[in-house]
Amino acid sequence: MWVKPQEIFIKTALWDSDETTLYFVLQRRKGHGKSKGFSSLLVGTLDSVRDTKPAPYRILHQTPNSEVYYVIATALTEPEIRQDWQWLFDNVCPTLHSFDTEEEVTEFVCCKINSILATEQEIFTEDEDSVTYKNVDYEFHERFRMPKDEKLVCYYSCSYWKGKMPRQGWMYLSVHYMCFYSYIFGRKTSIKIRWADVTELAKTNSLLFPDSIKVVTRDGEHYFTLFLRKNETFALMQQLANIAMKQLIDDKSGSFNIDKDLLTKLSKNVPKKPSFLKRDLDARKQSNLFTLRFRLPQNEKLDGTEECTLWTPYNKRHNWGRLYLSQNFICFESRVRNLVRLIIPLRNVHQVERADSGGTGSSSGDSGSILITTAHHTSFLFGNISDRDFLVHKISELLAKLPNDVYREKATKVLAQSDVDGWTPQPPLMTLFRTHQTSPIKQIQQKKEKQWEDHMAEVGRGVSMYQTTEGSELVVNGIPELLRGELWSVFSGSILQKAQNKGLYERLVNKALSTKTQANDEIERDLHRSLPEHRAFQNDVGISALRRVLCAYALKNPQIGYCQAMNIVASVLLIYCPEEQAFWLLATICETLLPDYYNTRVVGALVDQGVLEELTEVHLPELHAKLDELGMMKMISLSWFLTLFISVMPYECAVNVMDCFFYDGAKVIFQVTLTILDINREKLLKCTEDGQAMQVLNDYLQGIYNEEAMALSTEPRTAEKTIKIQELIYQSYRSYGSSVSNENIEHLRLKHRLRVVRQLEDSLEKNTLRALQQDKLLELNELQELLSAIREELLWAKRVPCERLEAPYESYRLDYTQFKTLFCALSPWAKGDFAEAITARMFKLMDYDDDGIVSARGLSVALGLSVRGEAARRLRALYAAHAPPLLPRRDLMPTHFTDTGEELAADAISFFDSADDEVIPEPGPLQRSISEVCGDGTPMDKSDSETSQIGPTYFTVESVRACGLAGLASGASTPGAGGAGGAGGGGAAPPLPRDHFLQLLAVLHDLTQSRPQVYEAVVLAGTLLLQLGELNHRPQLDREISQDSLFLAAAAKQPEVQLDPNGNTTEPEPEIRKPSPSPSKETEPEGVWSITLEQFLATMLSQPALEEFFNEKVSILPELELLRQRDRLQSVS
Amino acid sequence: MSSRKKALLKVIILGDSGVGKTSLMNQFVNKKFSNQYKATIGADFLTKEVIVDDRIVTMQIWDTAGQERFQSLGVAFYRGADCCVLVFDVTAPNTFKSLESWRDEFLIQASPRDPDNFPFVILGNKIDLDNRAVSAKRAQQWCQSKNDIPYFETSAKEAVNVELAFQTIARNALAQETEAELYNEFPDQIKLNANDNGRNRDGDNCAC
Ligand SMILES: Nc1nc2c(ncn2[C@@H]2O[C@H](COP(=O)(O)OP(=O)(O)O)[C@@H](O)[C@H]2O)c(=O)[nH]1
Ligand SMILES: [Mg+2]
Repeated sequence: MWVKPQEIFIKTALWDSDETTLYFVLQRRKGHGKSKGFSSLLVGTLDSVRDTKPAPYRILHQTPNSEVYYVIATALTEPEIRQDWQWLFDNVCPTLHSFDTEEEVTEFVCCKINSILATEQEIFTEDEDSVTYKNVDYEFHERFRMPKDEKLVCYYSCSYWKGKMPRQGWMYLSVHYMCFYSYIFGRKTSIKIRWADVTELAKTNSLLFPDSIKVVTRDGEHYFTLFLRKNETFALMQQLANIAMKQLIDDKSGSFNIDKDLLTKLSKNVPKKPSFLKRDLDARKQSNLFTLRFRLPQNEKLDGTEECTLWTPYNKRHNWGRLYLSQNFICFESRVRNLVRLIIPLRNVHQVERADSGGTGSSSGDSGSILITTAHHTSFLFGNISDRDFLVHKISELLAKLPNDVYREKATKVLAQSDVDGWTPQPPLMTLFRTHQTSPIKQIQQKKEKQWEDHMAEVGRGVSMYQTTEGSELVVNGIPELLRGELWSVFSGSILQKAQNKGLYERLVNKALSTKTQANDEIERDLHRSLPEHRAFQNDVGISALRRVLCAYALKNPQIGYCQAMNIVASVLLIYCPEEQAFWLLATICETLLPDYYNTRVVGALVDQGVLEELTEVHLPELHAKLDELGMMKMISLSWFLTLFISVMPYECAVNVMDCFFYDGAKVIFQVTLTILDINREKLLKCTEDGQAMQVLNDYLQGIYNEEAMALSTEPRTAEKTIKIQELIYQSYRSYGSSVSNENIEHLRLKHRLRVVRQLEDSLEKNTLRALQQDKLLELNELQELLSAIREELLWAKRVPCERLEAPYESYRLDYTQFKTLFCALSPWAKGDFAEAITARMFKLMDYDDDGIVSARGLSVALGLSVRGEAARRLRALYAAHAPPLLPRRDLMPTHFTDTGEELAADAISFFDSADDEVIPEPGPLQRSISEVCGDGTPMDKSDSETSQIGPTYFTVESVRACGLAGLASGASTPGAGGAGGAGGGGAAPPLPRDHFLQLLAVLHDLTQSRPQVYEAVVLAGTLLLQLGELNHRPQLDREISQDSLFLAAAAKQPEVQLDPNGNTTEPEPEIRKPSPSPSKETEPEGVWSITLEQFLATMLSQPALEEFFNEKVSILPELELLRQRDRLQSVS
Repeated sequence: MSSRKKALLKVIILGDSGVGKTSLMNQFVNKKFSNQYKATIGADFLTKEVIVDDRIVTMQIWDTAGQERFQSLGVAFYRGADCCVLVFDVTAPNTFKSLESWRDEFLIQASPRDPDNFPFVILGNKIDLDNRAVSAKRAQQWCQSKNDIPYFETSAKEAVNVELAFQTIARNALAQETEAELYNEFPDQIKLNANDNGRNRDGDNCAC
């Protein structure tokens, strides 16, 4: 047991040293164990006199040149102390020579021991989230400037290798980050790494970094050593990193929720762990393994397990194994692999009774049995249950919690059948479109059917059949066609999904068929390209069924929608299964058996490519090198895996692989693939280019044959026969059946997922950068930093799945808050009193579809314009952001520099009143989109465009935006589309009404207030513009005002500027500071107070100071750096 | 000798899903149009021997999956391509608009030595249909703007222009191939290629 390091001065008196190393001594108190004699007797006496009874074993730390010793561990028994000693020896000793001085060694050791102690205390606390944990949690948030809602999962004592020096400290694992903090030798080390940035996690052992955990990010590698429980720590790290990856793959799980249910589980099986969240994660992992093992729906949560026996009637045996209990199932698996497996859905349980073995009267308590009877009058007998009462109690508790709808099943069923909207679910298409069978094949099929009937007479039928070794042999031989549908559904577990979701398929179909989506279009295109060789799909009956299944699934799971290859798989399912069952089988494949395979980035298939590559490297190293050289690894797995071999092997052979796949899971695909590669090894090794290797494999695959089933296509086979499918499958089990397991694959998937997701993110980032560079505003390094800042910001946000991305940058979606955070931190426009107002208006300018979301490009352009655009473009953008339809009346705020606010307001109201009068009805949403305006043909959401009418023309928001952003390259450039981007002002902006203009002026004042000269120029230009507006407003004042009109002066000084031509010139009035000439109330407005864009630009640009100011190119790198420091503190020494 | 061996041309066909890539390839190689194809998943390929300027060359035509989510996955075999065929469906304007991004993606992934002069060929397919939506002129214009890419209007169904298009593809690919060799290795052996006695040897080499 570790103790707080205490200094002592004598080491030998009263103690014998059992072991000595350079830095540590293991001692035994005299009088204990071996040594006997006078002095030990004395020690014994002394101890009893003092009544202190120090522990008889201890470990001291010393350095060769020091007089001081530290007690670092004590123990009552020898094995105990030996354990600590061994740990020191294995973990601490190898590290110590890296230190230069003995002081450092001592400081390190003491620090290490102290931290272990702190961890241990933690582990023994029983509370949910103990006081210490709370303290650490607080510290964690403070040290790493974590947002409040970031949850600390666990923390461990460990060392971080900074260069050649290990720094002792703490590793903090939270939901989104892994952090390390150490303060030792007067130096601080602090590291903060996002899980989402981790590309690799590995346990390594090298001379340089002994026995450590390696964490790789794209910025570099980090090594951590000296964990007390390295495996536990590593497993947790892996799990957290994977949750982060899953979030990146799958946006819907954007936030992490603690699973309250998990708390109510069998407490005796849950080890005590420091954090509530850690416990939850452990439980999740257990549950995942459990659902994987029994092919249960993924959200099923394991409640507890119990060793016991299962009585199998077919061979009259008690089989030892483990019973698993979850919310909806009782499962059993034998200790001997594949001997027997059983699943009993709780909803089928009719009765649970204590059964007394052999009916010998009194219950024999400890070896109690229970008998579970299902609704179908089948009974299952479990025996040797150590705590039977507890189990019975638990089961009844779970039964009571089952949702009520279970019992309403029958009622809804009746309803469902009468309520069919013009379509009837099809029976297995095989039964409608029979393929002709030759009599030998008919006989084989009938023989197989007979075998299965006999087998099922013994082991039962349906969900709760005993799955036995004999059964698996029958599967490997190929399931008879007639029974495929039934058995596939049972083995894959999809029958459970179907049972749990009564009526859902029908509802989905009705809804899916009545909506028009992109997925439906894609499905439509592929319906005839699924299984065209089967008669069922040369006919509308099959095609319609396929359409329903695929459209319903696309609706059910928008994360996947429709992915090519699903059509091929689904069509095969429809051949053998009734329609609804085919649907649930498809769902099971997509969600459980081949997770993430078909999602929008085909992540799962890519992950499994990596897994296959690794397996090949392990089992067929020579071939792996070759295929890698040819670039083949990536090619084969896609079509083989995504279509379950259906598109690469003859159909009647691929279905045999599917038999095993549903029975044994994804491992089957891997083992068959490895076998095929292995068989063709010699030929493949001789290939010199990828086409050749493809040909070898294609020829082999096409030549696989099945003598026990009819081929679909009636055309004579051209390919040379290569191998019987049964033989191939046998061989795959023989060679790889035991070395490739589902657990193994799941584990490898975990590892490769990190890499794949990272790569996808990288390529997304690369594409985004490429697209953003086309705007020619920000520099590449600025864009890079900006994107990483955006990613950081988005981490806290739930991302919404998008149907189809027009461009890569659309995947980065910022809402206003996020936009604001970044824009305010980075843009020089958002520094003054109007920061918020400007930000909001720029946001609106960029939010082209008014959905409150702006893409990375929106932010990049807004920022880029404010620091890089030419003066005219910047001013245009500002102008447009203040123009009426974009900046609606209601959003105007009082300008702080007018002392005639009320008058202005009155004025504004009267203006709008009169404007309303002129507009006859409210103009409906205009059918013009920004894309048209920009010459970029992409249609967009144009629902509620506000329009404004000033003068005779309508101005749509789109047109104002286009005008404000003129000069920007349009979205994805499209061949042949009209104009060359939005250049040349595809849009137009309305003249600004007075109060809008005042807002703009206020903003301009705000932007320039720190630069007196520029400020002066703004004031001057502002005054001119106000007068100009006044002139437009009341032309009859023309003459009076023009007497002293400033703009005329300006015009005269800058003759090249094209203002409205006017001959007269006057002197400017420098004393005008407050640009608020109050309108005289007695005069009725005859025109409308307004300033046009042209007037605005001309006036502004006629001031050299302003032109210069708005042409200044500013780098935002310093701001980005500040932001980065705020977000990520890495290795501060 | 070694330049003789390279009488193998690698051609990549790209374009949105459903434009008729697989059908075109099969029309060219097997001389038939059929409704019995599955959608292409991953990558597939066929080979055919053609005679170009009295030389026999083997064309290795790679067909790809067109659905957007597969776009970045098939890229492994882009490398080493001698020609890239971009296909669109003249009845579906969107497939025409995607050409640009297919082209860009190809250039990025294949990273040919001289991207500006890499041979592309554009095929506007399904001209047998009535509901045409992309005019020949528009397509032609775009092709001209992209460094004069050859453009053909085809129908895989009725075998219109398919042979001609693939001949051009082979010829352009071969030109590229010769140029690559010129850059690459044995520059003096190029002259040998002009000799006619190379034909037999090509035949021999195909046994591999
Ligand atoms: N009318 C017509 N249909 C065609 C033509 N080429 C292909 N198709 C059809 O278009 C669909 C898609 O063809 P496919 O070759 O699979 O397209 P891919 O996805 O580009 O490989 C199939 O139904 C073909 O029958 C053509 O030239 N004319
Ligand atoms: Mg195809």
